[in-house]
Amino acid sequence: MKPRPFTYLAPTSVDEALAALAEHSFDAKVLAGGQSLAPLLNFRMASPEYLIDINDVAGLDRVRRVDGGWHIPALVRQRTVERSPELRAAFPLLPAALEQVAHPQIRNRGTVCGSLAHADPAAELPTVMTALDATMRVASVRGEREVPAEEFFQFHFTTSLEDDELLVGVTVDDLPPATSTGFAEFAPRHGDFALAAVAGVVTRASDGAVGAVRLVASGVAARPQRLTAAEKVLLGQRPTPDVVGAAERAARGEVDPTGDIHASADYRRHLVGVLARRVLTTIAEEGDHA
Amino acid sequence: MTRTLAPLVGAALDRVDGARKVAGAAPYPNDVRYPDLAYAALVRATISAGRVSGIETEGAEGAPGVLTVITHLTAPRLSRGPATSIGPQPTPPLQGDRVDYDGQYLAVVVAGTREQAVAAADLVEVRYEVDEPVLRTEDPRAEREENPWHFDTTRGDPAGALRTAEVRVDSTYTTPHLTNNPLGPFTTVARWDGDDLTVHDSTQHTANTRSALAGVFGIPEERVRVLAPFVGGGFGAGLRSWPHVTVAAMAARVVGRPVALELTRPEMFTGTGGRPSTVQRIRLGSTVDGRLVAIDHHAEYPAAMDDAVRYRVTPRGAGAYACPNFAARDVQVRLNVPPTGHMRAPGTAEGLFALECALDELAFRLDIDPVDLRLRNVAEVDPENGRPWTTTGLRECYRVGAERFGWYGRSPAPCSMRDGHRMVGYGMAGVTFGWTMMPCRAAATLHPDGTATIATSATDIGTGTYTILTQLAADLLDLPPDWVRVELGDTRLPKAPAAGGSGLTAAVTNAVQDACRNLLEIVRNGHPRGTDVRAEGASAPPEREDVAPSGAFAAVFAEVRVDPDLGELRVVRLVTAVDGGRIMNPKLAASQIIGGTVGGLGMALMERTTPDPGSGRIMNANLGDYLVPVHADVPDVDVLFVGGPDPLTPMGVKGVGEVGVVGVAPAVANAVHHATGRRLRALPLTVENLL
Repeated sequence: MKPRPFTYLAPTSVDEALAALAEHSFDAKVLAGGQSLAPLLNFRMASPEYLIDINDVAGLDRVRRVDGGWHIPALVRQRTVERSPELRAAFPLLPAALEQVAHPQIRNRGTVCGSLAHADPAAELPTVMTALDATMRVASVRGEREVPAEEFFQFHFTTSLEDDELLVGVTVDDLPPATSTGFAEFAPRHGDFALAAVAGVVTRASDGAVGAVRLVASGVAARPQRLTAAEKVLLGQRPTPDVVGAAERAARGEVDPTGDIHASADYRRHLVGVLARRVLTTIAEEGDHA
Repeated sequence: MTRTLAPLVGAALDRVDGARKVAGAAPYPNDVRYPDLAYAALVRATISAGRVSGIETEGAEGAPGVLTVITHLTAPRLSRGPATSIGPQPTPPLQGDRVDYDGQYLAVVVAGTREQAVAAADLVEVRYEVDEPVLRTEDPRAEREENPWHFDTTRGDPAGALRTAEVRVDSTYTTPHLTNNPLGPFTTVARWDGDDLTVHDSTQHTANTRSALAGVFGIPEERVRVLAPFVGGGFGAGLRSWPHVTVAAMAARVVGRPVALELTRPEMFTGTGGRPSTVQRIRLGSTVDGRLVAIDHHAEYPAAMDDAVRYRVTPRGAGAYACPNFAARDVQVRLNVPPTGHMRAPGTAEGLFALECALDELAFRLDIDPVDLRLRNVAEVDPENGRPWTTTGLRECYRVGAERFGWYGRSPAPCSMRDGHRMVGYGMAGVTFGWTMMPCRAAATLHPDGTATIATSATDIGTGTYTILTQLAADLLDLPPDWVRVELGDTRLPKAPAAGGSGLTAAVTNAVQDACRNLLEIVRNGHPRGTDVRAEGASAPPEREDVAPSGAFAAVFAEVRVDPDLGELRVVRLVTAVDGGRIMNPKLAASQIIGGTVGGLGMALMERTTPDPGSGRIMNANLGDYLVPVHADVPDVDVLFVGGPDPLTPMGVKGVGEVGVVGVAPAVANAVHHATGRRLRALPLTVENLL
């Protein structure tokens, strides 16, 4: 199949891109890496009248240090983040997850922000950004706003972006001291969307107890799901095997996935528990050695 | 003539067609263009049983570019082509209002462009009278055919021997419906010139497509020309002349223009056959020291309502194990499913999965090493007729494969080997693959410039026929390989059998050898200078009363890792030792075995065509949901060839087309048992079942 005819626009600045979005709004789609959009166009599951290709927009292709964190603009490829020494050091969670996103060829082209704006609830990046409490930088001709990841992802392939808005970048704040992270997923076939994945960010208090925790699962709900019951089990406790086991049970109990031809609901629920335990065990060991 | 060049047969020559393929210059059927080519798109049934009560075509007929819409109400009357060695021809399309399966063709739209045809096909409206489909073999309404192809065998007294056996295994195994999924969508481009029909087709058997179409349209075979110089893979899907081939030719006749019909991926799932699902019960009886005394193998599998292929799941000669008491029974059950076909070692792959797993169960029960159990039961003669085999490489396959794999380094007890939190398992399976050969003709021509052309109607579906015939002719005619041209895939060339049943290489190499010898005879006797010299040759299956053709042998060894918490199963190592007779080209033959191994890995781990249980419609008719292994899923595959030329035919070739597929799934399943102590008897070896 080939896409339905569309008008191709290639703005060279953010302002031009926003003007095009303002003009065509619902009738337009933004093309960045195209790893999700191009197949949708070819299958005619998406048939926009205007395709706004932002690849020529200046200034969106380099990560940069900002006050207290890192900013990943809209044209930064997934592979760039995966291989960036600075980002690897600052957020080990990013390469841990990115290495399991599809295949290298796809990550070479696909962008971080493109995956976030696409908002597939089975994808790694929305889950990871939710765990990192990242902030989406959203712009339109009406101005700019910041949206926390948890508010950004709303439903299957649905974000809080308005029709005239562009996700210009995502900012991730530096992790507090004594913070450990972990990621685990399982896909029967390499490179496929995972049946389930879990990302965790845990900050330990001076006594070794969990002071702050964000535990997020993908593939089990219409958007990345915070495992709040499991988090409650952990808060204020040292992550001993018993506590981690209780968190695993809580995680298994609080998700309500649906089954499909690839995996039953029960199996997905089981996976979330096992993956949560593995993430927390890694984090606990790392924290105990720190 | 003195041999001045190094022998090429047996050398690892690169594919002679490789550069053309990589450059996109090899003409596949969907590359064929004619100036006035029209394009067809199909309308398919969306119910599994019933009849068409109304079909509205006005909207489609009025759509841009549409030339015609053909339905069962307007289609020319067609006949069913002549039956073949693999069963009847498929039901001719658009001949009535009955619907027997979801996906059956109900109309074809022909238009000036493919896009116009596809868009207009959406506008055809079909009304149905819907019947309750028969979708499960256990449905009491399902018609059962015992012994449908007269393969059932009984030797000795299997029931009595089972009753008195010292040790028994009684297990039921299931394998799913699978779809071949060659990468190239099947395409037919048909053109009429008066009563002469030319068809470019994705087929593994040009002669079959020709006789099928001649029969369907009631014209002499000589008026039909079928071309398939390159085919984008087959895996058995191209052995029959499917309804879409007829639809394309019919459409071309109706519109008076050449017509191209390229199947979509979903249409490939319902329109080109596939492996039927099976349920198999195996009962083994043995002495305590591991001598088989009884094998009873029963297999049931679906066939379509109005179509069935000649099929056999219970392996001939029980996989060539020596056993005095033996029973094999096949049952075909008519269901509202798409026509079944042939896929990667059809029947044998399903049947030997069950048998080789049952033998592993017996070995475990007896506490005998699985390799040793098989060695104790190797049939020294053909169990069906007592004749000695032409070759006996099976023991060597076990020995060499086990040695390369490090089989005897395993700790035999299940759950006894670990790698961190992962359980480690070793498993193996033996394979005997039935021998097939069909009559074949070929021509060899020496040109005045000293180059030569080899010609036969056989197809090269990616396996390397172009290359091995180049090697063979270069040796026989004492020419450098680039002085030899090989022409394939055209019914105007001497008639060859199918690229199927692992039988083409034996047939075609013997025919080409005969043609080259005949050519040299003419040349030696003197011939006019400056003209082509042409000779034909032929081969036929030898009629031997004194020996039994052994076919190819293999032994497959697999190592798996199982994560017991996740239910994750990974195959980390595979070794296959193969006796394929004379290996024409070790590089291509090893590629063939690796390809078969990957197909077997798909069968073991992930492939499954999933019907909706209520409607029968295939729910995963796309490559996103029908999983085949990706590169990252495929471990190191070590291929070793053992044995030597099979004295059965002059060339000594056995054929390695399918032998690589068969042993992988049972070897992996047996490795899972060794790793986990869990016996999975259903394919694919679903991760959820490991918890």
